[in-house]
Amino acid sequence: MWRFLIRRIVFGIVVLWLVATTVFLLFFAGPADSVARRLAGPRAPIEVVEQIKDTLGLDRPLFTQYAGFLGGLLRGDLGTSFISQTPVSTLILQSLPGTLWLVFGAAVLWMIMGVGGGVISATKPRSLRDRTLTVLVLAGISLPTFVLGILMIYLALSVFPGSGLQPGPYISPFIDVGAFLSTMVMPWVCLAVVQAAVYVRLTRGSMLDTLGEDFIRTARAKGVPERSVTYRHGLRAALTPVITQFGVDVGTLLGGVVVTESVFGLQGIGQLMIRSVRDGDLPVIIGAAILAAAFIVLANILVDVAYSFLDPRVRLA
Amino acid sequence: MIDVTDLSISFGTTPAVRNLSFSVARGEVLGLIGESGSGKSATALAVMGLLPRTASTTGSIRLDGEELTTASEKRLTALRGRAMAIVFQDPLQAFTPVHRVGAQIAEAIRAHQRVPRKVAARRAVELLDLVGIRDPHQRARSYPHEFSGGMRQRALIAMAIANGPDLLIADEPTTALDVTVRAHVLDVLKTVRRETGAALLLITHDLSVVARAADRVHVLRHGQTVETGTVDEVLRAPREAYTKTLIAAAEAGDRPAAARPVRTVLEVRDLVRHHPGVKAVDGVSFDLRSGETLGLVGESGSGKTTLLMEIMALARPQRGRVTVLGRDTAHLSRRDRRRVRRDLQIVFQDPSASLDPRMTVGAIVAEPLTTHGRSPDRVPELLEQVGLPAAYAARHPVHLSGGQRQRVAIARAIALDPEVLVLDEPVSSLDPTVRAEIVALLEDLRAERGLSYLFVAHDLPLIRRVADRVAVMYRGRIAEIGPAHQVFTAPGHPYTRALLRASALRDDDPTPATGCRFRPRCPLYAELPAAPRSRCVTEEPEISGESGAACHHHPGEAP
Repeated sequence: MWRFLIRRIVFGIVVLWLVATTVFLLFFAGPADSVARRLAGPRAPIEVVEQIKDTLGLDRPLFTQYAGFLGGLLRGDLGTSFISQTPVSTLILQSLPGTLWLVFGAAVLWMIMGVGGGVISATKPRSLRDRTLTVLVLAGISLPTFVLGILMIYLALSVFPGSGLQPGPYISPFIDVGAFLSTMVMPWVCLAVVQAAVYVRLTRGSMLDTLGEDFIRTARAKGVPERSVTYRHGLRAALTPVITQFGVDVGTLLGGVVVTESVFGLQGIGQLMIRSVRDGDLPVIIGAAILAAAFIVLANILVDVAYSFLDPRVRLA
Repeated sequence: MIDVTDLSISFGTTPAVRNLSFSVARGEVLGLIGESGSGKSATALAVMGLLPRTASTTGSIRLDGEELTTASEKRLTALRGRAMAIVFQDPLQAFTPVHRVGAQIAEAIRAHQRVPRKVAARRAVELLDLVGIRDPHQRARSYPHEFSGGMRQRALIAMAIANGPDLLIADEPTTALDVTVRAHVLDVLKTVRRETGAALLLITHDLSVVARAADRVHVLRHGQTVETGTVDEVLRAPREAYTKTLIAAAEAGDRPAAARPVRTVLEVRDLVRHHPGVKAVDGVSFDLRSGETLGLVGESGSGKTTLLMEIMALARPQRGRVTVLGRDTAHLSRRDRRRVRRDLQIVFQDPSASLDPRMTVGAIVAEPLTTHGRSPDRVPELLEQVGLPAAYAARHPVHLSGGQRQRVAIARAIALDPEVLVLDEPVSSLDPTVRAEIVALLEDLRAERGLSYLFVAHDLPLIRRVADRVAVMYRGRIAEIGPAHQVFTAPGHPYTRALLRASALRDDDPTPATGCRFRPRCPLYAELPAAPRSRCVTEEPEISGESGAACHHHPGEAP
């Protein structure tokens, strides 16, 4: 178990290093002038290009630049934003809480809706409730997040203005719980609905497979009530692929929930990324990309560990 | 205790059971016998009220006078596990993989009795002990996959008797087990009947099980009663032709020795494969010669499968050497490995698992051909060679019977004209009559193509019929190897003798660290005086040239 963990962590670090190197080469390989021009944009005056070349030290040999870049990464120094002149790490730390709250809040919701819906569907396949859910799932999967989001904002502001729900930037719950909830509820529901649709499908399929297994028949044969058959034997055994997907999804979303954040004006990592790409704010782009990769690597390690707890047949070696 | 009258079951428009009537009294064992598809299992499920919704039943099933066919689901749940219990076949899938065995047995207790968790857990341990599982405290904390097949089957029995049922149904309780474990499980069922006085409905296709354990027998075919009577009447003097065929299929005759083989196609020397904590293969040597069939027998856990996998891996073994067609697998070039792969093919036990359900039969058989850059034109011819219509190429495996699927697996294995076929329990998942057909096909193919077979099976009469030579494996080593007639008629190793008699040997003793590993179970060792005994304790016996038995005290040698 420990050996496995250590190996996976080392492997994860290698992946991150490869991501960092690739990102570095993408932006910095090439003659100093053309790199500076690329960074500054085609219409930037020559002075700006020169200034960029100076501040970033693009004249130095590529390897020296690379060593400086990696050294900075190790110290947690991701450089300074071109636009706001703030350290990238500060920008990320400012944006992270919004994304964390959004993803974890939505995750709780979508697991409850998705797994619950999947179980309801699977225990009575081809029944009216199963078919109804199937239609809803299809609708959920087909509905673009921004359409749902805009629809929700419209309903909240124009039809039910008394609800108090409104779009807006993230406010820490430790400062103002009321404001926190009024801005977060809609993004949570919006993100959760789309995700839940996928989880209903996944849970339903996995449950149907499991409920067809011999051990379900054994459980019934020993006189266990149907409820326990469904949950203790069926769902418990069916949960493994769902958890796998869950870990990967959460990891991916933590890297930035671009559309949901943008629709609701939530100041999260996704927003930060969009802004930095639009502004050509290179250090921020690099920082956000590495952060996203780190979340995905971490999520994968956690999923593997969770797997061995969920399924005793899996040995980590 | 249980009265079934005029029971008919159908799935959609397909009848599974027609007008079946039988009854089992308290303390009695009724053997329900027939091939798969004869409606045995459907009958068992109908009694338990566990038939799928698509099934419709008519007639009457009375348990202790209570009508079950019209009982509510709630009432059935209350009866299941308490008044009537069932031991399913295929114990691999019968336990929920994510819960501990002890907890699953305790769950059965707590479903019917209001007892604290701790009491139920203690009772589960007692039950495991009752069915003969060593170290039950520890074992109760194991997960199902950590049990051997025999142990799982026993644990299933423990779970079924947890609430002292009046009726116990055992559906093919021994089919998946090998000979010695089979004897154990039947003994356990006997003990259970004695202890609980339950009526036992024993469902099987194996006549020897019925002969050993049942009082009366009921022969089923296509869902209808063929013949019924006491075991003596039916097995000794069957009245119906079908019963006679069943009995004939069960009795295997001797077969004449084949012509002398010419060269060695597979050579295994001192092969070792240790997993952490398990010496799965611990120094195995044997030869397979061209045109011969070498039977490999042994209990589950004896290392047969690991041995096969080591051979098929075509890689450098942990220790020892494997030489296939004159090529040492430790030093194969890429090209040679490809060539050896072509000449060494395998047929697995379960064709429903070894054939990709998404591929058509034609694609399955064509795959080895195209992989090795040959034209798939031969597919229809190959199918015909294994006795399938060429038109079957368009079908998917699900639409074939078990026997037909195994034919497809064989066609795939012979597609590249290999020289050696490894057969891993190729017929043990099939019905007796189908089994005979597949065995005949394998023998024809061998004769026509001069194939060599490494034939793994736990069915000894089958091995006796097909093998020229036999190797008996025990705990990672070969206990005895020799010509089939010699091993079967004059076994040199006490373990072989026990296997042939199917005597009950405990199957979960620890393997001793030094000396003869069979010692703890050896009936010969138990009777030896102290002086010759010491050799068994200190020295690992090797296979001696003449007798082929790895025993210090086999009959050929003075003790």
